[in-house]
Amino acid sequence: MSAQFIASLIIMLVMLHVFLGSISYLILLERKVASWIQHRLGPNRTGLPYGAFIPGLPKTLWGLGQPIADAIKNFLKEDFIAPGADRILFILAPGLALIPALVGWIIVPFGGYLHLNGTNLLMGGAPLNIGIIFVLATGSLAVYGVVLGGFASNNKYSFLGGMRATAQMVSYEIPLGMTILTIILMYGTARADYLIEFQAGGVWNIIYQPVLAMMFYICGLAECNRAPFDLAECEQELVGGFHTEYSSMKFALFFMGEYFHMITSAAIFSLLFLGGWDIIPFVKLLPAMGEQTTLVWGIIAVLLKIGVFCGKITFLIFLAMVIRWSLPRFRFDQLMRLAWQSLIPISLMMLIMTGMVVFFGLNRWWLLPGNFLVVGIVYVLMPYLPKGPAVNRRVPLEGSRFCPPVAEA
Amino acid sequence: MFTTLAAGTDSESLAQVAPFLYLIFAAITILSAWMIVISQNIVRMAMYLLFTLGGVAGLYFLMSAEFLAAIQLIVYAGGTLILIVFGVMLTSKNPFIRLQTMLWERCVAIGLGLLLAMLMVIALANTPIKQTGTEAVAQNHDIHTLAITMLSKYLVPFEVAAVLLLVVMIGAAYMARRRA
Repeated sequence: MSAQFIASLIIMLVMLHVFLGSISYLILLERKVASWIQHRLGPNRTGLPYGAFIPGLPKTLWGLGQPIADAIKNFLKEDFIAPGADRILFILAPGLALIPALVGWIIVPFGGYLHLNGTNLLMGGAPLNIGIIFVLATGSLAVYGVVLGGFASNNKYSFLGGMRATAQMVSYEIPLGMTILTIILMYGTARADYLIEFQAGGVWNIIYQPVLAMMFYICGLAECNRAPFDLAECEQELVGGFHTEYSSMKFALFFMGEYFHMITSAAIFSLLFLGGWDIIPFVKLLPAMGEQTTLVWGIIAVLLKIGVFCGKITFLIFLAMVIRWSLPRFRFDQLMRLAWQSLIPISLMMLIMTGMVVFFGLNRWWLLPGNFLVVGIVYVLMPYLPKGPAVNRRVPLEGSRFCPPVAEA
Repeated sequence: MFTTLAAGTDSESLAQVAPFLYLIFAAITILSAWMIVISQNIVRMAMYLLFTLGGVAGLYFLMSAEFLAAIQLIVYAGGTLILIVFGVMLTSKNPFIRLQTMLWERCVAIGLGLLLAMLMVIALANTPIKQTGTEAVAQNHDIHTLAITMLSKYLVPFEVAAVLLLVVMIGAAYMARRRA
């Protein structure tokens, strides 16, 4: 057992449990954000002591006991399997939804490096050579839980939800991979720890490539099946989509998978675009790799870095929640058009633009006008591209606002 | 830039746990491959195929061929297999479709399988297998070397594969076009 192995094991165990515990509180945060946006109170009755009184604090503790109560409720509910369901797939699907989410984040170097006995220990999961390509690999497996769950339920609504999720995730994987490829091209490495070291104390990537960052965030939302891309589970059309037939902890596993995906994509976003554990751009506050002075300061720096990383993840998830309660859901053809006619062309051109900047050895600041140039070119070229026949136009029903009644006309 | 400071793949610890993990991944691969053959439900077959591909990817990870493992997951497990599942679900009228095999089909399959097994045994027996340390393997498989090799020494096969994929894509777009 080398020191690196033990360090990786400790960090992975600690972070896994931090995430698993924080998921239930993220659900509480989601409900609080919803109530804040919709101008109501939200869950505020279930306090931690369940009725006991702690002096100096409000008796209900702002609803902080709600997640624990929810978890207990989920464990105690009846675990029902519909008689027509395919039992093996039905039981396996929630696991298949959760497992890819559980392994994706191991490449994230939460704490940077700790200098110990002459070697630099990575305070993160695995220092994989392929780095963020590993995230793409696990992310491409995430669709199986949804599609098999929808299939095994033997329910039309679930099946439709599964189908939608498949088409959506397969489509949005392409621009997601393309944006990651652009970053790999920019720095010439795929290792997550190097990508952060390149950005730390200097210019964050979001300043060089703001449009690319926005596209990555959109694709991340779509990959997590989050609103406004939650067509797989939209309540109004599909009852609940792929998880209609699920109850108890199986349903909870689907939910945990979704939130774990959000945590992973937020972590990848912050390491690609927000400088990872770096506090402020342009200012060097935390020691980079191999710059540590004493062991105590090194450990303090590692803890600070983990805190900053988790803070960025929390902020990005909060942003996703605000988006969920602010934007209406896409229609399915709009969703597909956004991926295939906007995101994929723009990300391809962005890749070519970044490649040219790297090839001619220009200063990285050229990427910033390049980003907007690409969007401008696409905007100018769009009307001249060949168009398919217009389907899904608004149907001019007589009497609707698009077609006034015949008698009046 | 960071080559002198960086911690690479931890080959020492990997060598300690490798035999154990190898058994697990090999068992997953073989068991689920066996389940593909004896299962009759086509969507369950696809799921067992997913486990087989995942097990093979795990074996690649153990051999420090990380890029190959990631590509195995992205292309086969995440791309090809999902299209198979998609196609089966959209085309089958009955969702729990069953596959029945004839006797002669089984005989042909067993014969072909035995032939393939013989071929592999002969090939293995005639190949001198060299024992190398894990460090040498890990260094040869970093993606920088792979990319340089692919775009210099093996440029022609790489481009031919790209052209093949382009042909397939144009063909698919032609087949799926809207007929007037």
